[in-house]
Amino acid sequence: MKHAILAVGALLVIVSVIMGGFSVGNRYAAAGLFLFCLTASTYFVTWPVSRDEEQHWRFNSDFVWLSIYLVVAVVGASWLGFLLF
Amino acid sequence: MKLMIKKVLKGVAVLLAISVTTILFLYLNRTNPYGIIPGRQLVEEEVTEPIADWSFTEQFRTVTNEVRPSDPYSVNTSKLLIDGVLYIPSGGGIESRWAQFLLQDPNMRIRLGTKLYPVTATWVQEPALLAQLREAYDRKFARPPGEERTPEELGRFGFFRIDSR
Repeated sequence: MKHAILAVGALLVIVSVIMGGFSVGNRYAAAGLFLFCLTASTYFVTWPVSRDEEQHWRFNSDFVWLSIYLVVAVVGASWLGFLLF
Repeated sequence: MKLMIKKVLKGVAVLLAISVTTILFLYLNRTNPYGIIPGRQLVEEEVTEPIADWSFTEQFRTVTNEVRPSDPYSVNTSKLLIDGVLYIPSGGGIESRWAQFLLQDPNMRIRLGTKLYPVTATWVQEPALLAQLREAYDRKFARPPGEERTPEELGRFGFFRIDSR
């Protein structure tokens, strides 16, 4: 299910850019970007740090990817909100 | 399967991070307005001689308006020329952000082609002139059959008269 939503988001971005071009007013691209990034972020859900087997704190690199996707998802949502309201 | 998707998503994330950073950099350092995104201070050469007849503006399709001199804010709009007088329409009427700035400070600069003209803007309030401007605008920027502007839509249009300063 998650893969399907991810694919729909990616397709929405690609098709809307092909049909409507790189335009600030392209609301389907904004919706696709938001959907894609929000779904992609769920693949990297983790805490910034966690303990390893030796009980040492270690940084979770997936948190970087989660942050990127969440930031871009917020950008997509703001962009969409700006166009719709 | 999930590992492969994660690998692809990491690549996409790098591309997205680079794109968003680049766009943010360009946005923060912009001068010209782009589409619905307002710009900042325009940098073209300023014409200091006063302009009495704006007929030469017919060769330009749009005008860029730089308002709020204290913290420049620029937008692209259409324009209307009637008897040598230049008018700038505001489709959102007086509620447009840039129109609000102009009401607070009527001093602005307009860019036509590659030149900047310092001007003052006066909000048109005379009903007869306003009706004439709306009609002229609707004629000049006519929409395709079936998509014509409704009287309510046209009624929202306001205009600034532009005079050289």
